[in-house]
Amino acid sequence: MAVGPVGPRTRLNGQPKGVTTDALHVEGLDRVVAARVMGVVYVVCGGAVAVIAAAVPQPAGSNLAAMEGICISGVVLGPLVWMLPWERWPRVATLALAVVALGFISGFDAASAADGFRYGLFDVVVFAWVGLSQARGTSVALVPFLVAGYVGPLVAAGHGWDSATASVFYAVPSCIVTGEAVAWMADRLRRTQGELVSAQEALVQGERLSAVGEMATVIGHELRNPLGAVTNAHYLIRSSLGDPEQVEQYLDVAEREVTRAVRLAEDLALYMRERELERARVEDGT
Amino acid sequence: MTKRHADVLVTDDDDGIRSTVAAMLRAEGFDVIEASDGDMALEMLEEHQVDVLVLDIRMPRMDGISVLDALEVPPVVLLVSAFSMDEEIRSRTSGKVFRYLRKPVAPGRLIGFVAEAMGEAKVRSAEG
Repeated sequence: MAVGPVGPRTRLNGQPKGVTTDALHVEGLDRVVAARVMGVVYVVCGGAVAVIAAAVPQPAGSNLAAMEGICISGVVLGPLVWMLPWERWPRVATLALAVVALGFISGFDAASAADGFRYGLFDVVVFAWVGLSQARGTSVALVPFLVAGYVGPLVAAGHGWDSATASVFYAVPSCIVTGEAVAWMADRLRRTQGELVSAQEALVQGERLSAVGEMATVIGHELRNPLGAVTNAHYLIRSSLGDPEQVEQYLDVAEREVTRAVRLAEDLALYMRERELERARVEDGT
Repeated sequence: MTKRHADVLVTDDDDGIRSTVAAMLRAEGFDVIEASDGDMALEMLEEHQVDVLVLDIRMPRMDGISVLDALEVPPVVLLVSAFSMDEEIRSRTSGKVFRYLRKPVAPGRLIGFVAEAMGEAKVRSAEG
C-alpha cells in the first residue's frame, strides 16, 4: 500500500489524540522535556565552569567571587527549573530559560573581564537548545538578547570598536546557523518518525484486511462442500419420492449439511467480532 | 490377481459430498465405489479396474494431485475442487485429467460429465 506524505491526521506513539505531526513541526520538543534539559545544562555548565574558574589563574580585573556566584546560581537554579510545572504554561515560557542562560553568560563575561568570544561556546549551546526545543526561526528572534548579552560586557569594560567587539559579527551568525540547523534536523527527524508511524499503521491495517479477506475466502470455499451436498440431496429426494425411507435418509443428509453451513457462517461472524474487539482493545491501549 | 470392475470411483473426504454423488451415480445405473482419501483411492485402484475416477484435490493424508502423481496410467479423471484450479495445478496434472470441475457441481451436469467420461474410457479401451 502506498504511503502518502505525513498528513495532519498522523499521530505519534504516546502522543495525545488531536496532536498531529504538523503541530509537532511547529512546536518542537515537548516543553517539559525541553525545560528539564535546560535545567540539566544549568547544573552541568555552572558546575564545570565553577570548578575550572577556581582551579586556574584568572586575568587581572576579574572578580572570582562574582564568577563563582553566577556559576553556583546556575547549579541551584537547575533543579528548580526541573521541578517547575511547565506543562501548565505556554511553550513560549521556556524561552525565558534561554534568555536567563544568555544573561548568565553575559554576567560571567563581565565578571571575568574576558573577551566576548571566550565564552561564546556557551551561547552556541543555548542556541542549539533553542533549535531543539522551539519552532524554526526562533533563533533569529533571540538575536537582540544575544547581541546585548555579548556586546554589553565589552562596552561596560571600556571596549570601543575593536576586534573583541567586532567578533559579534561572526558570533551571532554562528549561533543562528547552529540553532536553525538543529531545528531543521529535529524537524526532519520528527517528520521521518511521523512517516514511519504512518507506514506502520498502514501495514497493520493491510495485514488486518488481508487476514479478514483470507478468512472470508476460506469460509467461502468451505461452504461449497455443504452447499454441494445439499444440492445433491435435493436432487436425490426429488428422484426418490416414491421411497419414503430414501427420502428420509437424504433429508437427514440435507439437514446435517445445512447445520454445518450455518456453523461455518457463525464461525465467520464470531471471528469478525473477535477481530473487532481486538482492534478496539489495541486502539484503547487496554 | 484378477481385478474387479467398477464404473466409477468417487474419492472425497467430505462424507456429505461423497455419499450423495455416489448415490446419484448409482441411481443412474453406474457401478460406484467410494474412497475417503488418496491412500484409500490408490488401494481401491489396485483392487479394481475403474473406468472413471471422480477425484477431489484437497484431502487429508494424500491429496488428489499426489494420487495422480502416483498413477502412471490413470482412469479417465474428473478432478474436482472447491478452490479454483490455477495454472500450476493444470500444468502438473496435464495429460491425466479429462475435466476440471469446481464445487459445487450441479447434479445433472455431474452425471453428464461422468457419462461423457465413460464414453472416453470406452474409446481408450478400444484403442488399447
